[in-house]
Amino acid sequence: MEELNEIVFTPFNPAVKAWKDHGKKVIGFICCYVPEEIIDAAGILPYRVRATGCAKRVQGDVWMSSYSCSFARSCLEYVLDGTYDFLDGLVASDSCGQAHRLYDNWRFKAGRSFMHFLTVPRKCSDSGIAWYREEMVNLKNRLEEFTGIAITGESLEKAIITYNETRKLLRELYEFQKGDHPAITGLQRQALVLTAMSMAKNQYNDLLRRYLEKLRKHGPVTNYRARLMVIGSALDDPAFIKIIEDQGGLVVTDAQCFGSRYLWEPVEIEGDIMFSLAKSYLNRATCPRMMDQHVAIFSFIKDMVQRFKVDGIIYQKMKFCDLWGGESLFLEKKLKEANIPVLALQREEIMTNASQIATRVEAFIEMIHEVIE
Amino acid sequence: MKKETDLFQYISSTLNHIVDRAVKKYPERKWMFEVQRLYWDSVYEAHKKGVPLILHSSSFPPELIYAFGAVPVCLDSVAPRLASLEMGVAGYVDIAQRYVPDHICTFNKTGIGVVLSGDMEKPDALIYTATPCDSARIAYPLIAEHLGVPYFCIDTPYEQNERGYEYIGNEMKEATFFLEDVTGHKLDWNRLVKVIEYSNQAYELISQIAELRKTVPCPLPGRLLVLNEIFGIMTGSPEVVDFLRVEYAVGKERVERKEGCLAEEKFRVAWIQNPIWFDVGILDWLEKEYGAIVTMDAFGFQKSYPIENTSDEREVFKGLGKRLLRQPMIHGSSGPTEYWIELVTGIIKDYQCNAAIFAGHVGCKHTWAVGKLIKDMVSDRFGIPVLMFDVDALDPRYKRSEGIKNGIKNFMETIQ
Repeated sequence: MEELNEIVFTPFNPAVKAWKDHGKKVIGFICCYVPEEIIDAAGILPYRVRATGCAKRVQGDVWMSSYSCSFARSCLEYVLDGTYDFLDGLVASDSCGQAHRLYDNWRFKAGRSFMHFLTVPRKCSDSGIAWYREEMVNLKNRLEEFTGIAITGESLEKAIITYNETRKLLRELYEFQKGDHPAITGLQRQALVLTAMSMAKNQYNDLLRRYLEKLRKHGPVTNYRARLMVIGSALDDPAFIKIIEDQGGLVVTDAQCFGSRYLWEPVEIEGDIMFSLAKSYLNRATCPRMMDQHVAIFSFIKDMVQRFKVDGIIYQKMKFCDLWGGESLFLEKKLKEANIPVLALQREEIMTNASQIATRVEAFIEMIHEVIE
Repeated sequence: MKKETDLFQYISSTLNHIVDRAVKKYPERKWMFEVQRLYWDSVYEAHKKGVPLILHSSSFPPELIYAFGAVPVCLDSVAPRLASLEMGVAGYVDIAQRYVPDHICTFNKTGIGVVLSGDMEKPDALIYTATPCDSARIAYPLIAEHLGVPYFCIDTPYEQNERGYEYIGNEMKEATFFLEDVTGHKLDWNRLVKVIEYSNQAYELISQIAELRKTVPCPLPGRLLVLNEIFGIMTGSPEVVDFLRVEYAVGKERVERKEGCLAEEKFRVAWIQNPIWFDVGILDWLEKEYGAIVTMDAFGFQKSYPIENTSDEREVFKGLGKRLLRQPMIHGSSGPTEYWIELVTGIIKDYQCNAAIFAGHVGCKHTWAVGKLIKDMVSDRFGIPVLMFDVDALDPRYKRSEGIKNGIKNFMETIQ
């Protein structure tokens, strides 16, 4: 865990340092709709931009105002205080209004030699997939110009195979929490997922394989009172999971873009590789940014609840995240109809209300416990 | 939820009452009031006349709905309309906030509240777009789900370019099939051509009016900029052409006489963000108290995008797609910040502004997120004073008119 924690909490972590020591480039990306495989195929390390551990925010608030989501503001803080100086470039998308404004501020205040923006359709239609495919081709072309390296079909396929292996291993990791005697806590699992976003995938796959081996011999986690699932806004802070688990909950699964929704369904290559990537990325029920996937997101959550024997859901909404905040109108009704207990919590990236969250989680677990008994 | 008010009847009858009184008092301004009455009467009477009523989001070009002989009603026009009436938006906002967080834009909270309350007559269908912002993107599909009527979503790309217009053009064509299903009629191309003709005239007039406003002194009051927003929801109708024609004539006559609408024009103000819908009178007050006229606003600014070749289906749909992506408000909410910078820069330069006001609507998180970039750009490039403050442009409970005026007063007294 120590090795993982260093990767999770240190943006310029040892794995990235070692990568750069070999003279290789690192490109940050905002949001899990960015196809990392293309960046990887260019011989560049894709690094997911996040704000884990951000404890103080000054410049982020000045430039993005207090009306922006604190995840975006905290990421900008890391940009402006130099934490992300090790990034050689950035790829962003219009995943949400805050993401594209984070990108704008980044460009204006601390632009890199490589800045690229993807327009991600909000409908998974034939024309949407065709559009996104073209966006991916543009990204590929720009990366080739930037590196002078050709991204061939072969290198792209190789990257997809590596990433599919990561997806498979991550699903295996989640499997360890499925049974009555989980071998891992939600906190440990999230650390492993965050690590996946912060180092080279082939290295990560080795690390995760080793970890999974250890887990097979690991005794079960027993000191928990309720099996919980976390859903909602971008959550890159393990401290939030820790609060839940400190109250006796065990976070057995999630539907989070910094969790299971990061890399899950494999990219199936059917003919044209870029088309396959575009279709796969758009098809995932990940975020209510997609105009036509509200039902699919709910189905994914419901399916996870059943498969992981979830007793209750913690629905965390980042303040000023309109997408996950507004989704409650749809989601909470559906979850109620499905008889799934839900605790809705508002959250900020820098948690100042930890004790309040703890109290509410404790009461929720108590309520669930009474129902179970 | 039980229906307590017939919302469209309330708006229509209240407006009729207000307009009757106003016309008696200011008969020469009848044209300003009449267009609003016509719009809301058409909405209220649609079903009574057996005409389909199609609800749409603010970015969707109503031309296509007019072409089907249906009555368009813009969901996002309900909030600003209500905000300035006695009822206000508070009741609907409170209903919405039982289900969604308070930071959702009041435009959308009002829309959600209106739908959940059951006060709105059920439309025959809903068409919405993936613009302008996250708040709208989340609200529209949920509203569609609750309304239980057929709906269609138009996907919209981020950047404004030919590729994007083509993409939306295809979506517009899909929307046409959807409307054919809903109305039970095939699109009458000749009717669409007529509608496009009206809309071309309206686009031309709105841009001519914008040109007139560049004149020193400015011939038309700031209030008309807010009223001009009716353009977006009535484009394609002959009524909006009539309204704009009179406005243009009034402005042109003043320009020819070298007359401004103020006795002494001391400040030419660029209004960068949302108008304050619940109290448009603030603009009158600015004019009266400080000789400060809002010459142009970066919220409602509209260029002309004529659709020339109406015999080419592809060009027509693409043209409508372009209009969608180049609607007012989109400037600040979608696409790179450069679009907004370019717009604000153009306004300050072309309209010879010597002050700027950024009335930041709290629901517009995407504009606040680059507000400092914009403010600094204005100060650095033009050296003019900029007032920036927060407001809920629709709900005075956030900050009342007196508070807003106090802030503006301090600013104006400093720069005088």
